[in-house]
Amino acid sequence: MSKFSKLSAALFMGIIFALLVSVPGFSQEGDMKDKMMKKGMEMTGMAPNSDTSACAVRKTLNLLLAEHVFLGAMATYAALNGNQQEFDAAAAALDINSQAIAAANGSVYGQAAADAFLPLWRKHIGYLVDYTQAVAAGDAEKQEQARQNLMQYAKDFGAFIYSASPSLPAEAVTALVEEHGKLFLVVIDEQAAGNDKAAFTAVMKAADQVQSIADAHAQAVVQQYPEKFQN
Amino acid sequence: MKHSERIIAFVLILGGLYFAAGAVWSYSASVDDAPGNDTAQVSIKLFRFDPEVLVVPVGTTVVWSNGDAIEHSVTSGTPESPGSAFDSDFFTEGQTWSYMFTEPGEYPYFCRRHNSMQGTVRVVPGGE
Repeated sequence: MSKFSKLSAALFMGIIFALLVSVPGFSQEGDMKDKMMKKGMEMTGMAPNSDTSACAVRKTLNLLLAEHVFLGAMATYAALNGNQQEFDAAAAALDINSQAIAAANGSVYGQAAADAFLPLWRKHIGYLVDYTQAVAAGDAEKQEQARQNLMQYAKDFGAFIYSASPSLPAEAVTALVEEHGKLFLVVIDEQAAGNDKAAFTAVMKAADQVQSIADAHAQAVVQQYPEKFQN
Repeated sequence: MKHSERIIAFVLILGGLYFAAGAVWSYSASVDDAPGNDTAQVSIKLFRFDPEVLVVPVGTTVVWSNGDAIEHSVTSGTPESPGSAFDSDFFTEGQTWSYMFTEPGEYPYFCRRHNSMQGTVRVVPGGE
């Protein structure tokens, strides 16, 4: 191949690469984070050209919580298979999702609420990681401790949402989050056992279940702040 | 005035003085017994202490009120280094806990169950 052809090929590949990274989905981590945060802020029209309808609220919360389940499952799978690089990447994406969920709450309840929400949310992810590590190590005692921590977290989350939106009884939210926790533990157990089909079924079930949380929360938020949401 | 009338008048005056003194004494006792110390409020809501930093003069009693449907504590120090100055133990929604600060200084505190909840009471010498 002549030098010119090699150079042309290199330029052509360079142009293709530049086009690819400018396409959504191939963004750098920073762009992805901005997109996720914007998604969270779209819930109340803080982002430009956003849909502030009540349907958009439900859609946003459902999307964010479903992402939480899928990214969490990817992280735990990577951890159980000893793939540190994949785990780190999944955990980083999961944290971006967490920040977007906090931003969504903050856009409704205020920045102080978002600042209080994020560490609380991250805590439950930590408990899921603890459970995963305990399963990998075959440590039944630590598994049970992590499970209890998750159930206590469900009470914390229920209380937090009740404080923010009193129309949502703490006990009701707690029950939904307990269910979320239990379903996710099933995901981890099935992943650890190598039951791929059962693990994917459990992931789908968990993603489906968080809709209950998202829908209830969205409805409460729209009713509480009608001035922020159109239609 | 007859002697008996003087006695009656004297008794009545003494009685009046007695009741008047009692009232004054009660008032004084109330004033003395009233918390001459100031009080300040910290609200616990949405898993945060509000205000996060509270500045009070020495002798102030700070009252924490829990508005969350979950137990919190007010424990001196930080999660990494809990202190021994005060610890409310856990109290729940609708309950309050008080502590009087008698020495100037900076008093960080946190919730033992929810470590991200942290606040500070800054106690300044009286009059500042």
